[in-house]
Amino acid sequence: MDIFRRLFSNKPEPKNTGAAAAQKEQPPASTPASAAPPTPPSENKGAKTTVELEGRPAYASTGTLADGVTRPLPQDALIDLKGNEHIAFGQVTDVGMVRSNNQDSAYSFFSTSRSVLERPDFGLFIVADGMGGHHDGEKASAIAARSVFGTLTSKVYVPMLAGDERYNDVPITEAMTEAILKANGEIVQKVPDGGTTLTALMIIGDMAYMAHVGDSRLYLIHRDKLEQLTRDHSLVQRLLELDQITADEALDHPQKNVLYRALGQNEQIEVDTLMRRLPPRSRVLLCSDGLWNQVDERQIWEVVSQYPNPQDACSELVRRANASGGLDNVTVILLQLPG
Amino acid sequence: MSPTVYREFVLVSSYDSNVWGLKLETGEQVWKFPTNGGIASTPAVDESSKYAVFGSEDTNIYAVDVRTGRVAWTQQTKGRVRSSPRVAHDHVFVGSDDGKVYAMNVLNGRQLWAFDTGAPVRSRPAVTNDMVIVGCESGEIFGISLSGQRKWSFRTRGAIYSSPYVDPNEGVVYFGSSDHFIYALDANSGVSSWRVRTTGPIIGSPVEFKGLLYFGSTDGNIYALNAQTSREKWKYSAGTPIVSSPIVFKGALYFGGTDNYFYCLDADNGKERWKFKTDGAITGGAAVTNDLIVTGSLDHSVYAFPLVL
Repeated sequence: MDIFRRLFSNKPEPKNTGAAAAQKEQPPASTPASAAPPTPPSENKGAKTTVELEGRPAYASTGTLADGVTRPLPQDALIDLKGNEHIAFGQVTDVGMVRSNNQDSAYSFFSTSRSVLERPDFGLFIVADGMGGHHDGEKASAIAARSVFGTLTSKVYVPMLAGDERYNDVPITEAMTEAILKANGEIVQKVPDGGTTLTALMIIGDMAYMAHVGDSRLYLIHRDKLEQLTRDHSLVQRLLELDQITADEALDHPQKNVLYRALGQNEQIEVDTLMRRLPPRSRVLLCSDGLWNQVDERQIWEVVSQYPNPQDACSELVRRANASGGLDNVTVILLQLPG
Repeated sequence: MSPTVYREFVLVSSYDSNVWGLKLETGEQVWKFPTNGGIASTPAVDESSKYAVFGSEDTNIYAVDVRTGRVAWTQQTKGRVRSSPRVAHDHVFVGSDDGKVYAMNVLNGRQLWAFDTGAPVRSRPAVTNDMVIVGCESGEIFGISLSGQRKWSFRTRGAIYSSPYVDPNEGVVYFGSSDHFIYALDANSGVSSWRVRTTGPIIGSPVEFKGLLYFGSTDGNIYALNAQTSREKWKYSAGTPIVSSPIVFKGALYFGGTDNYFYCLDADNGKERWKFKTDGAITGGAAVTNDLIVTGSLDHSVYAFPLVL
């Protein structure tokens, strides 16, 4: 247990004290009845669970990747990105109904071209959820998103565009890890009392590369399935993986916002990475916990599946988060794959 | 020596310059095909013509009838042929020490194209629906269109003897290099996804199954990595260098070691199920059927083990 004490020993700090803490801001004690967290589909750790939806096809939540076992995608045809169909995306961020400032940061960048040079479509999408009083959270998330975006566009996108193949000397997931470590160093130096989560998605052609620290999430939505690709670096998630608590207990756990991994905490941090080829007509959702704490996965799947325009879907997701209480800042980026 | 199983036959290429055709059930010799050089190339069998194709250090590529050992055609290259052929799309794809990858009609050996990699090609090409992927001794790996045009290349810092493995679902190619790394690249573009360093050159070829990537290293370990995250799930230490290529069948992982043992591990957790000691190092791969697994040893013997599940 010593390791857990060490990892989780950060106590919640009152607002504006400026103390560095991995404890994210807690919602007010008096939670309106209508804002009670909706019940998500029951999850078996690492196992697929299927939820029947009334009058709709069932979707499966695949839980976490903690078991280290990947789940192969259905045998779809690969996307033909040489045509005129490309990824569409939407992005919405909102302060929510309770907070006075928005500590989330979001970046979306997508480039497509047609020339004899045959450069692949390129996308870079980032969600960062800051923490810490006295505006430190918003500074930390802004530095993180800006720094990672800047590093990756200069180390990968610009040379790729110029035909300089040296960008490929470092694997994409390694470049993303290095970019996050660099951003972490900047935060430690410039905002010593702040911290942030960071979830980044890079698209090259139809390959997706992901890098992740904290509890912002990345979901792949394909057909009737909603699959969480990232694993929360939170105390509650760890306890779930260790079978110390149930999924129901996790919902109301007093330390549900405690992270054991975030940018700005330490000089050294570990970054999770993942690669996946995106199937045609699939959707990818990046979001801060302001969404998934307020809107259950069934609703997320419903909205993403129902709205043909990703920007509209993002707006609806944020509206539902606020309608459920809007206890936290909420940020969503939704990508829609052609096919 | 690496055996190839085709129906009731097992074909064994040997450094004694022969390819041996044996009965799978008994090991009895059916035919023997002599060449003028050692044979490091593992035969590939074309289903429709029943030709077994292989190369020899005498610089030739041979196609022989898998049932009789009678030669159907030969093609000469300008170097020793130690690469193992791949048969796909009615063609044979094979490399040579002359630095070229050849595409030839499997029925008559007629050359469709030759792609110059600039360095000896020792590994077996991987072939997808629209591409040939092959590594060479300079450390470079190439993505070549089926019409023989370069689509991409990627350079490692050591010779590539490991044959690339392409996951058909994800379109990702995995291979090892003498620079100690195992690599994952986008098979369509050659963009590098991840790399993991071991503590020795990787000579054998990886294989992916159910999201786990298995490979051996000359550092003495067999590794199982999550193919998407590159995280290690388990590793098994055989103690001495592993240059053979593992295979996975019905939840078991099989590979040979330079410690003379043939190993069977649980593919999911790396726990040893059994091992069998031969009288020589096992440097080649194994072939598996529904009830037998066949491998060769440098003790000049071919072994067939019953599959115990």
